[in-house]
Amino acid sequence: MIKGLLRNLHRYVFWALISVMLWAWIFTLLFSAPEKNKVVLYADVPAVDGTALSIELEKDRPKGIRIVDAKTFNSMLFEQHAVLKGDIYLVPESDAETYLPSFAPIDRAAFPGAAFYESDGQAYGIVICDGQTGLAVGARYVTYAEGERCFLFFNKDSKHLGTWNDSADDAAIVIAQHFLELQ
Amino acid sequence: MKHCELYNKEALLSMHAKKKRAGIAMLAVAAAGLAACVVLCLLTTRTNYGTMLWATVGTSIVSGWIVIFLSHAVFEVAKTGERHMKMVEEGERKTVGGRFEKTNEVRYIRHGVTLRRVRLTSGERETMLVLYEPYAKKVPETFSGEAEIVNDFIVAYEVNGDD
Repeated sequence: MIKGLLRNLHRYVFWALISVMLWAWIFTLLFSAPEKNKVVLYADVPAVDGTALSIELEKDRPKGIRIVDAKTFNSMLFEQHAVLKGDIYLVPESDAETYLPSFAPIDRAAFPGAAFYESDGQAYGIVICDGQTGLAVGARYVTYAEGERCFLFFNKDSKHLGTWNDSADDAAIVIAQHFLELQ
Repeated sequence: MKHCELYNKEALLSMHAKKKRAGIAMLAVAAAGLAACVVLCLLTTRTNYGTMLWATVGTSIVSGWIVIFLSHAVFEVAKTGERHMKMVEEGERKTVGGRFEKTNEVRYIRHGVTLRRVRLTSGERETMLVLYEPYAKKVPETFSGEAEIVNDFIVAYEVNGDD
């Protein structure tokens, strides 16, 4: 029997590899959606509970959105091209200038009472963490870097910014508004 | 003289039944494994995603391994055995005589078919024949007499009275 097992070892190993790849692919399909039905939030912060934050943000998801996917920038190690397709970004002040050309200008009226990251008089980011004022939006889900301000930005190429860039829907704005209400 | 047939119709039928049973068992395990994986997929939520993925992969691997085991340890052995028996049944028999001596040389052909070599000494001439290993115990270690062969396989033998 042992000889038989050894003679067929390649079959057992092959099947194990096929199983891992096949089911990983199927599970990815189960929890994926086309760009138009998905809002992706990337957080450039020390830690984020992506699953819990995604579940929370999906509670009031706009019509047509199947998935809200929250992940850290570390994920881009595995999907560098995908990180450019995010809709919402949480970025600390130290990196904001670097990524600024990728962000969309914000219509201040959509976020009354918010403080903004500005460049040339135009609002680009919303303050979500400020060590001085003690502000830390969604601190249950997101661990911010200590002593550094953090902002919420929108990808200028997002397909969910409504009239800001002539997108079909404004789901990213609605989900950002939901995020800003989180404790 | 004692005549002994090594192969019979019942052995062929039992080999066929064994092959059929193994095939059914393989299908049943594969279907059960697949059904379990589908159920696990349906029970997957965002919170249990990781656990369910590994549970599904584990279920798939184990059920697949059982199918592979049944395939090489039972199904293919029975299939090759059945083919071998049919070959023997349909083949043309020749009779050879002399002194037969079972060797310790056991050869694995494939899919679990093993053969034992038998040395036939007839006068000065030495020939090598083979025995289907599962039937090797039915044949004495050495004997003088005659044997019926099909493609060098001993299918029946007769021991001389003085042996």
